Amino acid sequence: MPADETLSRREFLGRAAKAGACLAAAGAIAYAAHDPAGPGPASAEPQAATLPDFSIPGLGKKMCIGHGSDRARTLQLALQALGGIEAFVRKGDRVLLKVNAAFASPPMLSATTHPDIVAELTRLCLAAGAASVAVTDNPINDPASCFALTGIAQAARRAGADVILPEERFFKPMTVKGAQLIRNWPVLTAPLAGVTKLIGIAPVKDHHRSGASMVMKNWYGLLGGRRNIFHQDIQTIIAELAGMVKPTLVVLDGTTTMIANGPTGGSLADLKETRTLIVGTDQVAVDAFGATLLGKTAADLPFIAKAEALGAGTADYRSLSPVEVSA
Amino acid sequence: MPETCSPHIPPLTGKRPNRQTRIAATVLAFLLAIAAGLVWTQSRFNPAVVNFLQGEAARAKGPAAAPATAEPILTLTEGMSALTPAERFDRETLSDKIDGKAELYLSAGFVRLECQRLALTGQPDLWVEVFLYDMGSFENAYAVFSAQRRADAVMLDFAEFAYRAENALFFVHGPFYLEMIASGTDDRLRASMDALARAFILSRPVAQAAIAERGLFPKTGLVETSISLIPADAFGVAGLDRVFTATYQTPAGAELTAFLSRRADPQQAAAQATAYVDFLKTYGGEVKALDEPVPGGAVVAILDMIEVVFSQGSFLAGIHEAPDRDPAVHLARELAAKLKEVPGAR
Amino acid sequence: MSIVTARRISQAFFVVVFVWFCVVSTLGDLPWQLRGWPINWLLELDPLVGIATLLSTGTLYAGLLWGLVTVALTLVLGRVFCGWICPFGAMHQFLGYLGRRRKKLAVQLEANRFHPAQAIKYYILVFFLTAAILLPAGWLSSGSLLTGLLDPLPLVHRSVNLILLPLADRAGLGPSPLPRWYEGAWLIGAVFLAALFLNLRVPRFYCRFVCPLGALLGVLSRFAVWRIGRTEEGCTDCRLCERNCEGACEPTGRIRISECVMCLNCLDECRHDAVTYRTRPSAAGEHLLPDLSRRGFIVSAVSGVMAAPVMRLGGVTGPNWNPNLIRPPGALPEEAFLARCIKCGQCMRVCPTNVIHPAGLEAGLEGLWTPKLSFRAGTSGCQHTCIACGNLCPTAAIRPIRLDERRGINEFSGRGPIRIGTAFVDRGRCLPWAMDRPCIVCQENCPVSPKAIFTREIFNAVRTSAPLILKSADRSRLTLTADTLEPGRFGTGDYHALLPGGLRLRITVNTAGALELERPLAGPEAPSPGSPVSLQVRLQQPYVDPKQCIGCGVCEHECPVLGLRAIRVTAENESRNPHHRMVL
Repeated sequence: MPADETLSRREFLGRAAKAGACLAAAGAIAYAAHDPAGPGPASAEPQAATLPDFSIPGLGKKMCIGHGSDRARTLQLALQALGGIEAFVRKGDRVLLKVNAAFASPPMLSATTHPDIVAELTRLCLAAGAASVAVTDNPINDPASCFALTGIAQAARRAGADVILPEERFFKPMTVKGAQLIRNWPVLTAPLAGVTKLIGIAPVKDHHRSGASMVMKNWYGLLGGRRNIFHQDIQTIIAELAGMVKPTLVVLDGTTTMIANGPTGGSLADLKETRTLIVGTDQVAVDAFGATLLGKTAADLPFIAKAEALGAGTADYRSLSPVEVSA
Repeated sequence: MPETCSPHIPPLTGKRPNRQTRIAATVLAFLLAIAAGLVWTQSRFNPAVVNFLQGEAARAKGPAAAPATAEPILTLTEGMSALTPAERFDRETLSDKIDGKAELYLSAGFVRLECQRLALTGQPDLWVEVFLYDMGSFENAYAVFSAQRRADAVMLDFAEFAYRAENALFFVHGPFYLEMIASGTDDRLRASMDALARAFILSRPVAQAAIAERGLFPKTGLVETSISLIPADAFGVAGLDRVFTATYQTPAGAELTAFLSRRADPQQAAAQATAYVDFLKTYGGEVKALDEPVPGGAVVAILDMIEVVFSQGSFLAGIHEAPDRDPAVHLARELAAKLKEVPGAR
Repeated sequence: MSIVTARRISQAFFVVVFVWFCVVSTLGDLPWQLRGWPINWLLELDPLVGIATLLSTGTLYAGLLWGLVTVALTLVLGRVFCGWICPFGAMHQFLGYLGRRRKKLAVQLEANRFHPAQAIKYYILVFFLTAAILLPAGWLSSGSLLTGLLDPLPLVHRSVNLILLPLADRAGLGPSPLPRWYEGAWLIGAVFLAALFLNLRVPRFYCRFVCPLGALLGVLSRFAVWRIGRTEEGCTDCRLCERNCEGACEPTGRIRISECVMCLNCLDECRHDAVTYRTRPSAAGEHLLPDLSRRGFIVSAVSGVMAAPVMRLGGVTGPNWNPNLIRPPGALPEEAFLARCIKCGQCMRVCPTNVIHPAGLEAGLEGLWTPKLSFRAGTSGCQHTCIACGNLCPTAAIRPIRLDERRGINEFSGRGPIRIGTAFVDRGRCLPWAMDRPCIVCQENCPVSPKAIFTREIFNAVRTSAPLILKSADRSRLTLTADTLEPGRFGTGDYHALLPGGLRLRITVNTAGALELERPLAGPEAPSPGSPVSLQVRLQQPYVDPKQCIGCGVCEHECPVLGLRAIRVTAENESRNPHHRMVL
């Protein structure tokens, strides 16, 4: 019957059209997604990236060696000798303090950055008009306990700084141009987003593997992944780290130096009261001087020469005419 | 029953003929096309297969240690053809071919080995493997030649330093030391090896480097074929290199070993002699006589044996591990006399 | 010719093609070897492989485009793939036929009755597809490809390649002259036989209740232009059409289009021409889509989405990775690998040294039947000049590599060779390390140049039953005071005599009471009678150089300590995962 036929015809055409549409869609998706070659080998030359240069242009290489037992006081005097905190931090700056919170160790064992310096520096930065101050590190032990037991978290928060604990999503793979080791390696870049001033704060420590752990080695705390593999070439990694990071300022705390059994120490017998605190813009020079507090010379620490060769600074700290102050 | 259907396409029903058959035929045609497609595709080899076949071909050529070439390593004589490609080995890869024996050659200044298997044309079972060692110098070649001289050696005429064993031929020519090992003792193989050896000698003229030292041994009682060259650390003494030794038969039937070594100058020779005597003394040797056979020489008794050590001109010489003193001293005197005749000796 | 005859010929054709593809899975150029035979073609025709990998990787790899042909066929004609092409389906159909051949009509009809449990395969499909979806955040549904477990084409390839062919090999009927071994084959065989034997209970059991591909094609049949159906008149309800209905789709009643496998037996059986294949819907009505409960759908979907993340909480793709899981060279990093591997077993069959085996739970549940390397059960290690597995993987879970890349030469010389692991010497078991027995089989067999195994020589004192005292020394012969030595034992070239004074000489021959040295002693060298003589064995102790080692496993294979080998390869330093890097 005609009606039947028309209905069935319509039905058939409708169905055929839908089948056709599905086929067209399937075909389109298939061709769009078609990948004849398949996955290739991991990309050979990853893009080299650079961290921003946080150093103050035109300021030059400055260094001040402060003597005293009161860290806050010595720090104040040393900074004043270099032009005051205002020379480094301006109104509206977002400051990041990179501390050494590697171990869940109390401040008196001097294995980590002393909370007094964190508090004082935070206070100074905020007084100079900084918009925000944050403190961060990628510790070896559990981050929360490290920041807590070292007293850094409490000191920072009390002074008005934020504490940024590392999370996996804060790391991005980075390749440092010309580097052999930092290639496609996860680096703690998220806390650096929006930051205008970077200050590294580290204690002076002996280190079984590298000879010493000071401000350049402090940047190891920006590495993620299974970074202990770099201990196989520790001198080169420290130099590459110094080449990667260009801070505004570094503070090397030699008030109590760990002269033996570093980097973890663990006994008061490992410590010596050297009552020195160095502030400077040249991390190589600062470390070169710091070596003397350990009774070593720059020649004993190959990473210093390597870092100089990479252009991270000057090993001959005397050429900077460092200012000496006493509290 | 009237079929109800959409206008242009008749339904498929149980009715066998025509419709079903046509569709069946179409399907079968498709299947044939698929089969044809598969057969065509199989001729375009998968890259894994291509790679596999290349690997097989390379393996068939022999050890990967040396790139094989088609050139035979020495002139083929009539009736011989190459059975395998030539292989080359250097100092690093020598042990891949001859395993532990490599040490002997390496310590004697080995430079390069070329080896190849040659067979009688048409008779692949009758082959000769030729080892052509380039030892760098005639002395080195002579050193390995003499160190390996087999007990059943039969001396040959076409080369000064050549001998034959039952299925092998060994000879020295210039800086080359050749070993030819045959697959059997067939006469034809023997003849082939001879021919190859002669052809090789003719094809490669070398400066006649006679080993002068060989002629310096006194002839009386000398076992000619026993002259050997110890390239280094002779008698366990470090620094005592390039020492020629020769065996003598005394009339009484005992064996004596004489040795001599050319040093840089007479002073060095004398110093070496003194050093050797000191060495003997540290091991319990007793100096029985001095200035024998020549001034500066010494007769040393060590354990149950006699050692005579002296220097004559630039030569360090003596008798090694003699059982009795008198024949040893006698031979030493003869040796010294011969050495004295060498120009330059004082 | 009846259309059913054409169907049978088609089924036979594809079974023969399939078996032929399995037989030729050996590298070589002989007619019965691989040559250029497209042995993955049937897997590529399988649209479930294509769709699932599309969900898990966002791409459709190379030959998987063939799946579009099947999709097109199904969209237009219905599940002809199931009835005419699928070799597994053909096997089920054949066994089902054998199982019900002489039964009474009533029994046969009962066997082909639709069962609501036929919905299970749709839930399985939903589960697999949702598990495969790769979401960027990764915390839900990490793109795990589980379809290979039950997808019929990978399953039948796996079963024939790893069970039937090796059995045939052993009977002398198969292509491989040597017996092939496959770890964990028992489970594959059990699943295969279970699936086949269940046909004796219910025909095409697998196709009706389990097969996710069938479910997918059933869904795609929704808009089929041609479909089976009853004519308006002529049906006498004799139900003969259901006697051999393979799909249990109830052609007499409201036909279930999604269950119809296009066997056309109904059309053939009907004596009244009441069953047709036409563009117009069945006069008795149609079920277009399967009856799925929303609850069931949600359960499957949620389970699928959570499956992979939950499995991966165990850390097998993270810090808890299994060092004994050695993947073939060219395998992608683990998560990308698990998103592509359909567990078809092609790599295992083609591997010339039989070192690729189906994994058990080494890679977690997700890794069941994925390829892993075992160097004990094989004829050698992983040949470092072979590129077979990657060039045969239908989904590029093992990506196709060139020899240059494998060996790290020419344009790849900056990266070095592809490493699949590193060998470690077990010093407590190694003969020269622990047993004072000379052996350097591992070093000799290491195929890379320079070798990745090097030796250091040491001399160890040989224990003798009593101290050896010298009676006399005569040139190269040392005679001892007592006859305590094992004759001949020390003449192998490895034993040395250490004389007082420090001189060490190799022993060439020994009798019970005498030693023959490699050279005569110089007068001063000979020890005095009564002095002690020590025997030493020269050992070359192997060490592995991790910078050279590519993890090929030849050393492990050749090690004479046959049980737990004294040198074993584990996955440290494998190229595919920079997190497993051991050395800078």
